[in-house]
Amino acid sequence: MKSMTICMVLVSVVCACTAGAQVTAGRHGDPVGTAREAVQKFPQNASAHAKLAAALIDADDGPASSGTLEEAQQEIGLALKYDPKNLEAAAVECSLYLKRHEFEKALEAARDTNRKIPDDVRFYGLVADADIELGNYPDAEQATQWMLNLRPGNTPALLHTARLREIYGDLEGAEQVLEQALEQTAPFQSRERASDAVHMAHLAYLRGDLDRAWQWAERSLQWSPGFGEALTEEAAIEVHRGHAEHAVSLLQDLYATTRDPRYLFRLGQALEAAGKGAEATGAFQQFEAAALKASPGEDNANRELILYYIDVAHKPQDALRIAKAEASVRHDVMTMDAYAWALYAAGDRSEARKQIAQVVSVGTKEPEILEHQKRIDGSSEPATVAVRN
Amino acid sequence: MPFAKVLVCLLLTGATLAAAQTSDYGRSELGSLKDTDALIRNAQDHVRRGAATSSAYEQLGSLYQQKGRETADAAWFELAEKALRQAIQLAGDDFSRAGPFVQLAAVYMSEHRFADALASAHDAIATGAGDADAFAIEGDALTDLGQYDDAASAYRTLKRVTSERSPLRADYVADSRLSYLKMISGDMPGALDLIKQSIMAAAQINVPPENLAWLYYELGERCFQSGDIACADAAYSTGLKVDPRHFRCLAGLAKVRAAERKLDDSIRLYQRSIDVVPMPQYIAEMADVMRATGQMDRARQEDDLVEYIGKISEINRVLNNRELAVFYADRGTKLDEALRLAKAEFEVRSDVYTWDAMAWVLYKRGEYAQAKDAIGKALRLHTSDPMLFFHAGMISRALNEKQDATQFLGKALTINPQFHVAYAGEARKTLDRLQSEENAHASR
Repeated sequence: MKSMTICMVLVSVVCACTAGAQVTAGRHGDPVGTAREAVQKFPQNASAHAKLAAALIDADDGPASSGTLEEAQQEIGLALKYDPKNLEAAAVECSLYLKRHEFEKALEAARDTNRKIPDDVRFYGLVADADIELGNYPDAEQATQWMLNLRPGNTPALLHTARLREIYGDLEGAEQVLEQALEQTAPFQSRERASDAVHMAHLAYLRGDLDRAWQWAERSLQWSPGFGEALTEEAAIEVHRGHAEHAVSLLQDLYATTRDPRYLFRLGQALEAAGKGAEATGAFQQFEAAALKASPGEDNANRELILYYIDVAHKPQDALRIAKAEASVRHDVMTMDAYAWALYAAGDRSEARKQIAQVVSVGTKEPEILEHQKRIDGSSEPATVAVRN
Repeated sequence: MPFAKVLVCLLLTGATLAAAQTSDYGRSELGSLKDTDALIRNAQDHVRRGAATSSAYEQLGSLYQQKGRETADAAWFELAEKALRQAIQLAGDDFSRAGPFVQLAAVYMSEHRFADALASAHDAIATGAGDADAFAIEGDALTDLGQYDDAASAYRTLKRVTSERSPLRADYVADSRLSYLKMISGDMPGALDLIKQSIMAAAQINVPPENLAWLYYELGERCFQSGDIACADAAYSTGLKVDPRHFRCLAGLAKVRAAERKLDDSIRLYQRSIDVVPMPQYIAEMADVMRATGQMDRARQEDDLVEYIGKISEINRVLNNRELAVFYADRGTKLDEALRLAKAEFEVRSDVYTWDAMAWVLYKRGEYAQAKDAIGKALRLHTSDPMLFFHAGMISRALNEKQDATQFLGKALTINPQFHVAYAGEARKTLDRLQSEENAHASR
């Protein structure tokens, strides 16, 4: 399941782990190329291999860059071969686990190094990343606090803080620290700025301030033209403003460029909102095929697939099967919401209520989650009636 | 004062470290002057013996930089750059890279390579370490590059980041810088408030005497620029109580005495300042005072010294472009060279004072239209500096734009009737002539 959550998390991991690579290559364009050159120059240098692995993970952009993560894994292996205690390699290995959605493994590895080197901020960040994905929010909070205590004002800690505050429903607090993080981002870090800006946009969207949300999304696109997360955010805003046609156009362009099934699902929703039922059905069918193909991989569209099976295709058992598989590897609020919604659709209302209660107790203000809670808690109607969103 | 200005004084041949202004980037306490060579030898041995770690190279780099400050020999800065680049190469992909990047940025500031300093500060920021010094240098470089809004933004971040650790230190490091920006933007009361706030904070956190004296010097400058001679006198004097060898405060006090027409006292104070650090700017100012007392031969000797220092080394040639350009323009000599120097300065910075220097040189060359364009850029932020208004007034006068000339010169004298030992009088005479011409025109 790939969601905004994981994008944010990976940005913060990358910030902590590959800052150096970006520094070297951020303005010069090709971090992987630069790192490869270093490896060629120093073939037995653990740090060079770790930097290449970090750059490869950073460059991985889903199915289009297949083989990248495998190469990163090999580079980490080489780094650890030349220096088994190399901390960079240990950190990059954790971020590779995160990227592959091996969250338990990531947490174990990060905690292990953290115990040995308790004053390295990086590993607290990695612990927090894994804990967020696993829904261990108090633990993530504790790790983030350590990051701030050890090095006040460091940017990855601010990003983690923003993420946690958002999850806890403290949207203004999240905006405040995120703005600080943005101030602390160098002008040439366009991608990081774009990512922070789209997070700002989402926070404003959650607060219902659509104009501000739009402004931030636009700013994000200025920093990173064509940035998928920003265009998705704009599409969501447009649907809420009643400009579904524009949302359709944004998502069509986005899907044409990226072929990412997640955008296809959002396109189907936007087409429905625009009253284009037939086109929506076509988009959804196309989505199902693409999402099923991507489903076993780490860069999947499983959350969207679950929602599709419940809300569109009316196949609650298929939804529940995928939701259970997702919930077995991660327990963040988005995953557990999808699980609760699937339980409800499949008729297990009691368990659904229990699960959704746990999700909302964290404090999240995600409208989709709150809508699901309302439906699960408020309805005594049969699930089959309730599932159509 | 931007960091580059502070460092100019450190790069003069024969300048002693003890008296020289240090930055507040937190890396200046490396031992006394005579220790530096020994410290360098130790650091080199350390690296040679196999401790070729990032931190070892960072330490070596900062010692080379220190040595460069002490000797004004650019070769030390080159060595510092090499060592710090090595430190960056060896550093892990974590916050430890921030330190060498910040150090490297400081080296570039020392060399007036402001764009490089900015890039290096950004590299430090990009590590995500939240290193306050990186934001300080970012703001300083932007100030020298004339990008004042961005500089203010960097200083605000500096203040916030520093506040998280120490609110008083935040007031000290950020407010003094923000004060300069307020002054540039013409908000002198705001500039005075901030520098006073910075002084109070610095006193409470017990900064080294030299740093506190530097803040009093800055206060003195603001007071003098706004025409409050008594305030300037008190500020420079207090600075000297804190640090009796503070050559900037000595020169500031000399300027005050000149404004009071106590010219012999002024020369004595300038001499004391120059004995500590032979700053070309202060030697030139002393020569102006000598001329006012009729000591033409001595003034000429001092002028020769200004030229000599300005060209004595490669680094001084880079660092003194602007000062020498203004010096030649003031003296009305070597105006082709003055223009070349002013243009060269634009390759490294384009703040309001660089535009002012260019305007003054062009005016002296008789290129009045271009001079008007340049002074317009110098005054675009409404900087409340009598010298800028004097230059603008003289340029307008040359263009026969009498109303503008009267306004600018009047403004210079209104702000500070004694803004310069020679030019205040010239402004007055020019205003009188303008008035006479106006009267004659009216009577016709």
